Amino acid sequence: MPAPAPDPDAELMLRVKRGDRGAFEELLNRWRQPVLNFVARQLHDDDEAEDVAQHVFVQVWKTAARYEPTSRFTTWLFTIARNLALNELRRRGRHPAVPLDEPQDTGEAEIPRQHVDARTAPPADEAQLRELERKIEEALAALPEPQRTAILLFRDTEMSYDDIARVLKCSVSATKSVIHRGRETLKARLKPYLRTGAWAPAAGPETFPARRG
Amino acid sequence: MADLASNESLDALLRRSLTAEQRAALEHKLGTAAAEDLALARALARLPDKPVASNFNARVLAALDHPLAAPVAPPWWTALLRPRWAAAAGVALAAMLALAGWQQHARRLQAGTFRPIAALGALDQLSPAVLQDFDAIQRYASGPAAGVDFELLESLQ
Repeated sequence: MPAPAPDPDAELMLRVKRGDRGAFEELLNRWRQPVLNFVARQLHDDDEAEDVAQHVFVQVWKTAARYEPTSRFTTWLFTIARNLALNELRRRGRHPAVPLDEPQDTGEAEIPRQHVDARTAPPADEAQLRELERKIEEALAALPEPQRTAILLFRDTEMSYDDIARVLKCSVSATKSVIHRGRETLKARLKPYLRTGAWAPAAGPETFPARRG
Repeated sequence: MADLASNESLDALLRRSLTAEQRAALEHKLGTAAAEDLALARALARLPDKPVASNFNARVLAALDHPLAAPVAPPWWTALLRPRWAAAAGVALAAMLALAGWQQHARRLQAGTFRPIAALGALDQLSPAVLQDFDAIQRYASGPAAGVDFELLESLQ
């Protein structure tokens, strides 16, 4: 069995454990964007996500003494991020705040009919792409939390099935199953949009905004 | 097995870090049968980053200076919850419980053994007049030494 690759973030985290603020800032610069993406897509609210993401890093600092480099740093980081996001979702559940200006769109049945007809539409323009992105964000938000977490971690980080399983606190096979179900649910919900051909151009990371801020 | 490999390839398509070449190779491998998966992967890959506030770091670092954000050393007992110590702590706890149980059992056994002997010792203090009814007393007893009727003995005294 090959030895696991050294985790540079774990090295930094061990320095943070000794109170090294420079190492903490390095981790902050490296991971703030993925953490913010993750939390924002869990909460579906960018403003709240900013506060929660900042709190994630404060918690990383506060609990650094408990960090053990037996697993990857990302497992530790995203376990904290997931727990804080879940706390926020639970708090919201107890004190729901329904936006007045935005209808709740959570299922396939609520997809507007004109988008079903979009499969015959001309190539997507910028506005249409934004609309499709919004639909994908909504479909992600409507996934059960473990499916959303697994898919987001798989997409945004280099975490392995094993690392994601540790965050979800389940087995590797269960994690694979969760990702599979999440993919299937997203395909079902987004079927009309996926058929439009709007996503046809092959897209590598170089066409995207910078991944880490 | 093929399904498993295919599923893992479909999952791999979700990776945002894929280069265009890696993505093209995966798409070629999966073929047209997975057209919807390919479209979903492309769609997910294109979701933009959430905007990070320019003062994000400053706010986090300011929060660290707050007294409540000082690193907190975990209580000593949390070390027992770590995997390397949890097994040892579990074994030690089980051994302590077993020892306590054994000691309690030994005490009970000892008390049960010596009580009739002590009672027999008390017979020395009885007068000969009392002992003349010994046969009658013995008939009331249901067992050997353990069946000594202390109440009857006391009343006879």
